[in-house]
Amino acid sequence: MLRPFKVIHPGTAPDAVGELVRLGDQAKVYAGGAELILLMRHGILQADCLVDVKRIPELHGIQAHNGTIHIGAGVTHREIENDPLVRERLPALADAEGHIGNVRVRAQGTLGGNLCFADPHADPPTALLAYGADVQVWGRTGERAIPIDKFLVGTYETALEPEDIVTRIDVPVLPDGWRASFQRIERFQRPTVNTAVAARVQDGHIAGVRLVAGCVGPRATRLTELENRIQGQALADVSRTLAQSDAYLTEMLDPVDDLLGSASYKIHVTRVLLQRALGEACGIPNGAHA
Amino acid sequence: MADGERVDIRDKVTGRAIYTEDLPEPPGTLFAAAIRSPYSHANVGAIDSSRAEAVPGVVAVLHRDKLAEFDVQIDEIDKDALHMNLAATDNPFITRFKARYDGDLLGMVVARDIRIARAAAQMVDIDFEILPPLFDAADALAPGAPILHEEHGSNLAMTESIHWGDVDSAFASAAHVFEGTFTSPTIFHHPMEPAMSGLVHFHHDVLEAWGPTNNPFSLVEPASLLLGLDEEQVRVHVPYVGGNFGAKHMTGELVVVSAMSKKLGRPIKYVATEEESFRVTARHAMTYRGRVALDADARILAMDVDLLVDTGAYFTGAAIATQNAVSSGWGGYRMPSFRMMARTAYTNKVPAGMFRNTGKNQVTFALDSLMDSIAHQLDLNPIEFRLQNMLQHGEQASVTGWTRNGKDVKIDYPPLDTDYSKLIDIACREIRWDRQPAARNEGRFAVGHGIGVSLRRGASFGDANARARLNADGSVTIEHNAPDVGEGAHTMISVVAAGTLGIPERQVHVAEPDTNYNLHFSGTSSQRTTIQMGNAVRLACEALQAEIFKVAASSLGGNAADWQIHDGRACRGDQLVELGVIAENAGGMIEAVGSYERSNRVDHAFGSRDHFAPGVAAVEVEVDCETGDVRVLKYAACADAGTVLNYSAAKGQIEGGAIMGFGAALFEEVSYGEGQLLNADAFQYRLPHLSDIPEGFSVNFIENHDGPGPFGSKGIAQTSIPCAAPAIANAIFDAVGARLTSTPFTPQKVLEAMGELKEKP
Repeated sequence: MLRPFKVIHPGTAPDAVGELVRLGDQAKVYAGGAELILLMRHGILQADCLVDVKRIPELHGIQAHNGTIHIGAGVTHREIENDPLVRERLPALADAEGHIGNVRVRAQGTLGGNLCFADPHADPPTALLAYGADVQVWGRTGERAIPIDKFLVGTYETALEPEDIVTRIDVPVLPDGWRASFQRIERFQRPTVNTAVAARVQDGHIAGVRLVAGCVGPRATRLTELENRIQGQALADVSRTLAQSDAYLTEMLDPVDDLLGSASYKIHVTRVLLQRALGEACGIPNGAHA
Repeated sequence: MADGERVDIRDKVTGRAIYTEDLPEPPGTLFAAAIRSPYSHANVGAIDSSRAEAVPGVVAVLHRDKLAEFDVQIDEIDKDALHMNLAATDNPFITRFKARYDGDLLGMVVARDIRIARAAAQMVDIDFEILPPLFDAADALAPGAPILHEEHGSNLAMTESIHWGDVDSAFASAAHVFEGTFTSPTIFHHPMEPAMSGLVHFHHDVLEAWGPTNNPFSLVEPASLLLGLDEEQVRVHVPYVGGNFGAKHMTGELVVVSAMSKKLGRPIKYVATEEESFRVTARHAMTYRGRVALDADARILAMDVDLLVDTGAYFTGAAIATQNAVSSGWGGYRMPSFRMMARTAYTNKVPAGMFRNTGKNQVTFALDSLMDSIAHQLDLNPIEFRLQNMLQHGEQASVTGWTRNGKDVKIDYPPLDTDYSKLIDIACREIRWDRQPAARNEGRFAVGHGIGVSLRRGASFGDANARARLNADGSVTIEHNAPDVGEGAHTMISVVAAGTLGIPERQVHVAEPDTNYNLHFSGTSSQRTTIQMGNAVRLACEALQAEIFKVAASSLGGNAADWQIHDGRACRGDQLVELGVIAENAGGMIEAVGSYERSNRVDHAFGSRDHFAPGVAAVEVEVDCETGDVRVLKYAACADAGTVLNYSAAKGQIEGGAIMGFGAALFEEVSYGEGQLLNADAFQYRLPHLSDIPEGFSVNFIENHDGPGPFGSKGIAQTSIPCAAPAIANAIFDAVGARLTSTPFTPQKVLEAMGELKEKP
């Protein structure tokens, strides 16, 4: 049950940071509330004051600049999912955004809010890691960019300082010849496991690849060693390499048994979804399977 | 029979329906919050509520040490009659010295605001001595296990056994013997409206209560005993109920707030949260180990079954669940010899109670999976194998002798009044069983077909009383105490009243249950309402009709026998009279009562069962062989309704039961760990979603107008739920050759059964 609280509507990002500095612990950033209000309703998190950044104009809009798509932190998942620019240039992100929660959650929740909450069972971080996005942050010392891989720290943990707010997410469009794919399975509204892959195929070989696994560990993770193993491999050999990756995946993702399934189930499904994503990114109709 | 609109449907789809939580609060209403044990097993030491009492806005706190202050008749606490939910249980209305499950009720706080009450309930300081918890029935029965109820001496709550024929000789001479073990976990009903809420108001020397329940009388006896009132001083109303499924009982929480209302003279409202609702009641976890002996022609000779039942922290529903499980252990199969032994154990889980088709869903999953598995192992068509071994229409089961718990029991097993071959034929045709599905075993998907069959023996015992009153405006009011828990009880009453009297349904008004009518009913449960309340309403309306004709004859002429009712008006030859005129002639109204009873013959093997209620489901599933995900593509359910009284309500019952069965089959499990209940909300407890329900979902009825209910109707409410789990398991086997032996069939279990998961990654 929600306890009464006040909502403050700063007009700019610096004003929002100013309010956070002024109010300290009693304030929380509101950017759609898809996660925040749930926690407050269950009494897990309390705030006397919400600083609403969702209405700040500079946190809105989706634009292309020099091969990078700038997405305002206050843009809703629904807007991203349906945005023609994102659908055309960042199809795997559009796919990930379209899977979040349900349509009511997507109409309310924002990309910035989702990233800052840092739930391990989230979809956007997995896709953004495959694209190599940067997170633009406004804080006490002004504006700075944090690569997504540095931004994500752990379960409900980011690289943000308490007074920081995320203003924008800059997502580079993949170079020519690259394709990306996002895959997910779920039992509840949040994903059980998701993967994202970006790859380029040349002459039947992997000429470039990024592999990302989400939900199993405390945060979405780039699988660089596995990338190195399949880099340069013939497509026909890739499935064997992936099939032998369970030990590496276990080491990287540190799976635990929980209500979603056993550690071995999660690793199995992660591998299956990596194969599917790689297969789609490489244009193999039935996935990269043995 | 009737294809009219459900009487509740307009209120519900327009949001006008008033549920307990929506009731306007009388002036001065206080709000209650429960004090609960956060531990699954703990001794309760000192309780200090002074911090909670000091919170501004808190009006009172009741717990173990304050019972006398609230004039609770402490001497009555341990009496059987006080036991909540059902007559025979050891569940006190609050626990005093020991908490036996996560959520055990220790007391209540009332305050002028619900937020204050809930915050203060967290500020009651209690010394708990934490004890090791038991979450598994086999662990609870193991030597050296901690004892939940010291006075009982062991965690074995009860045993139940039946035996007929010569099981041992049958196994000795069998050509084939097969065996299987099947488990079903604890699951929760999850009605949309939380369980156990209520509004109570002690005023004018009467305790008046409103609450969502399937039986308003369930509060009367405990409240009157504990509060020192006459039963006439307790009056219970039942507004719209947002789902029951066995979860909606009057509970200890309402007794506590009743005592507080009596002492404080203020109305008190208690609304449970979803997390608390999960801690009211549950479905029993069971492990069924069955062995089957067959002759060389694949005819069943005997079965030998061992059943382990987990009743949770208190006895609550143990007797009914265990007896139901044992008396359905062989389903609708022809069984020359049979032996079944059940042991029921206490564990530190939510006390299990009634759950739609209590005790039989778990057994049906096991039995019909085992039979399907035998057919496959003998390389026989699973449908032909069933038809060869199932009782046929009119067949008397070859039961030659029976003992229950060592005592001889009279056999009262009626011949089968239904035809499985027809039900199976219809269900299979609906999913096109004979066609190889297009995507079968291509790519990563495998598609399979399966059926599930169940047999329920009619309605339970009980009594029903109804009053039919002709009003001066020509309408007829039916007074009764059958809460409509969402299944259509009031629609059924409307159809029966209108059909019996010969008036249109719009002329019938079905009243809201109120114990002040002085019309007893055993409760909307156990598939009894259509048979028992339906017949009570029929008898009331027949008696009313006779009275109407008498009054018509004396005031308007002719003999009573000359009068008839057509289309809502009385007529004698060409003479047409509005019914209101006849009511006026009788002084403004005419009324009559109807009563119907099926007594509980406990010495009989089948008590009071008056008909059979079979169910059949045929299903097509798709298994993703890489991820283990199962999707139901087509589902056909078939029931023998005798006569369908209202098509949309009957269809809703069959669909709702099947979908609830999907939940148990594919998703649902109440999980415990680290001493606590882990998933008491819909974010972590997976319920069936709309997207899980196939477009190809068909509901079919057989109507031979041969049931004991009004117009030849039978009970159907619980016929579809038991078929879902075995049908889906059997279809998964057909698709991928892997036998699922425990619900829910999670992707992980499917992969494990397929041998796809390595033990250690």
